[in-house]
Amino acid sequence: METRDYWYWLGVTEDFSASAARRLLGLYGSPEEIFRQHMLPVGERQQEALNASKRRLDELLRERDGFAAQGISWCCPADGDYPKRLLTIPDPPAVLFRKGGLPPEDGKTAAVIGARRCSFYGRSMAERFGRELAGASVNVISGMAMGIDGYAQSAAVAAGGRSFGILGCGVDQAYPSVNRPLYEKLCAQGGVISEYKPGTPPLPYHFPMRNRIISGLADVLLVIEARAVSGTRITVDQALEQGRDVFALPGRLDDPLSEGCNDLIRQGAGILTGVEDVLTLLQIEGPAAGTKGKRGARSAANLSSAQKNVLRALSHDPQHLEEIMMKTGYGLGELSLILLSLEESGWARPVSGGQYVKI
Amino acid sequence: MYSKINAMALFGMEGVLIRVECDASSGLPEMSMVGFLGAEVREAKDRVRTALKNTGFTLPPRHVTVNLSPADIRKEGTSFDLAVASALLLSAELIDLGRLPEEAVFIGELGLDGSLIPVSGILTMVGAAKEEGFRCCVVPAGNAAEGSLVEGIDVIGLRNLGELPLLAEGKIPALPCRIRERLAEAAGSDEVDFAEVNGQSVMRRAAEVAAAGMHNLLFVGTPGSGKTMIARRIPTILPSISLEEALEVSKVYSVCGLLSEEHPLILRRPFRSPHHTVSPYALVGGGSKPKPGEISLADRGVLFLDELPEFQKAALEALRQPLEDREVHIARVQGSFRFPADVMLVAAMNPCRCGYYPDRNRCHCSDAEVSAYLKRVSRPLLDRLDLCVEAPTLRYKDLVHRGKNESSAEIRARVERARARQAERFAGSGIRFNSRMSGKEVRTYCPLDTEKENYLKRIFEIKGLSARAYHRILKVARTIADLADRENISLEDIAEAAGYRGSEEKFWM
Repeated sequence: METRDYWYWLGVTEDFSASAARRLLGLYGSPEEIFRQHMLPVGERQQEALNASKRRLDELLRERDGFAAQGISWCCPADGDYPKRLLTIPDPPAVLFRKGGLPPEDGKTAAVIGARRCSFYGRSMAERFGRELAGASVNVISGMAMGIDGYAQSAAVAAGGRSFGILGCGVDQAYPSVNRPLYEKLCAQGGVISEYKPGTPPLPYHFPMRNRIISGLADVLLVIEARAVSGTRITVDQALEQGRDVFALPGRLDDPLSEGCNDLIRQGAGILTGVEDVLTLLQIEGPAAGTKGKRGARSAANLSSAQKNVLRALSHDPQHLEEIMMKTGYGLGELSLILLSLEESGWARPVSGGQYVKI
Repeated sequence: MYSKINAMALFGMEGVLIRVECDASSGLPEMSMVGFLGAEVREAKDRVRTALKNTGFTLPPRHVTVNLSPADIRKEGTSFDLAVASALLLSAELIDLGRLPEEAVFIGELGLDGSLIPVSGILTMVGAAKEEGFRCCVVPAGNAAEGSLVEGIDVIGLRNLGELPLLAEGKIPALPCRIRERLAEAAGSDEVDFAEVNGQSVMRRAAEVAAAGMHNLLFVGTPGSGKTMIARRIPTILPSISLEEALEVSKVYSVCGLLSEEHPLILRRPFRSPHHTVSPYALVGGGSKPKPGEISLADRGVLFLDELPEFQKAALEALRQPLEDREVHIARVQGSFRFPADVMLVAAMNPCRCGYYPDRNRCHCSDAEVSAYLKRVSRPLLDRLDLCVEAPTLRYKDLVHRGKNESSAEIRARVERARARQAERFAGSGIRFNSRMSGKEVRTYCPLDTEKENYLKRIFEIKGLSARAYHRILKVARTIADLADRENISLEDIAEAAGYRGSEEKFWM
């Protein structure tokens, strides 16, 4: 057996946490040494789990050889391609599966995270930062979850950037299933990464664990929207433990979805006022001009006065047709015509039947 | 002696002529009733004999046979009592009805004291009697007002059996037919009015468009946003009910026994709002002896389904065929029944279980939950709802709004103009409303030039609409143009019509 095999064994042993592995590695130095011990200073259940996976070792390795056929590769801390960023965190995963690639060591990475059930403002901000980071060649890391995560990553890959999704299940599954199109895109334009063996279901306790990989792989963490108590806060805590910089998007005081962000700012997180804040921190200068140029192309100068009137009445919060009619004085037919033209040129978007937001 | 009296039986929405024959012959005193009778008809024997005794008639002790013919139709209901009593009295030669046995139909139930009790379905049965060429109908006094709505036949109301001898002498006058006066009196006297609705211009507009083209309508919105309030007022902006329509609707109510002596005619377009626990049979009609359901009671008016996703799946799916055919067909061993079901379907629902989606500060439903809630409404039913509008959340200043709102009468005037355009357009084609156009008719009556065709194509791309939406958008655009009194559909009409569909693809993920 090679060193890699011992790492693999440690990594795929079920019911054996990364923090326990870290403690054992501290005591014995290498997974090989751990493997050789008959009795370890761990709980009865964990000892039993380790023993069971030792007995099943041949089976585990055979199964591992089959992953390549599914396009899944893996690495461990002993490998050269193991992300250097993860080696600096307190409890790096012993094994990392992936479909697609890993974040390049010489490129910058930023994690964009936030609430699953986000507001429409949060959605458009996530998309904006995803798009602009991708425009500056920053790799966007996130959890491929519903809400902020998915929106930021979708925007990043749509803008032609690279993005990496860290999953709480095996990399052979697209979870949540509504994000399957994004999953496919990530495999082609970045990667999906997980410390869980392919076939592992998305169990609730996996997600707080995978959050440390999101922050671990990122140079900087952007929090778009978070409730006061949320999974996002777990990621932030881990990012701080790992010494990563954290930016939070400020929000209104009465908005429960911004409570977490505002609280982070109060505790000293950076205030996110634009992608430039992030780029400055990452010491990227040139590409920001690219995003500016893109914004210039969308200049409001090309819009008719009617379109401008309607656009002024819109905001990032959903507005009902009724309100827009009241503000602009247009009839329903006329307004529908203008809104459609704004929708076509990418200035506005309907969020349900009769409500519109500015993009 | 042999006697014969005409009676009527009710089968679904049709009256069938029944002859009650009676023969008194020598033999042991006994009375037997034959002719494929239901239990309640067989019981007539006891009711009639006791009623006759208590009215003061004494039947001679003879062997009496009563036959209800044709004997191969199963007879049910209590409306034969009067005919049986009359036939008995005739055969016993206790009264003389003159020419009435040939010229009249006798309908009514008897109480033991000889009083006549109203029965259901009088309107239908009197109508059928007129079709059969009878001159006169004798009915319980409580039904006389209802029966007298049929023009061209005399309807005489009796209080009790004791009045029978007076009939032949012509001492009981027939009630005058006052249907036209009643209709004229009722016109414009609706209990609710659109003037009471503040703001809500989008929903008001959608209601107007839907009323003009008889399009089915769906309101999606938060609780308390006025969906029910608007729906309740839609009948007030539909064109006034016509004489034929009022009779057709009243017949349904008559069959269900919902007409009273005070209100013998349905004078306004019906508005039916069944609770969401309604069974499929109660909604579309049915039962071993089929009766009309809510959709038929809403005929020529509005069937309002509040909390659409909460309805039983089977009940909603049962609506599909009647909405398509404008009629309910129910097949039973004893025959097939048809009930009218020409309704405008108005439905209302919340966008999610808590009702506040897409306001994410209040709605905590996950996207999957929202989508699961919406999916309770099946796609085929959704396809039958031409307009779908979202209700805005009402704010306090809308509630206390002091300005004058447009009244139902003003909106109705526009709707009637649009209807007139449609009547002219569809003259002779068998359809009356834009919503009833088939694909072929849409191509004929909604021609688009290249510019508009391209515009519609772009809308489809922007909104990601399916091909199914194409005809619906054009039909609604046609109605919007009719409302504006325009011959051709404009870009604005198309944009507005597409707006009424926009929800679909977003809401129904």
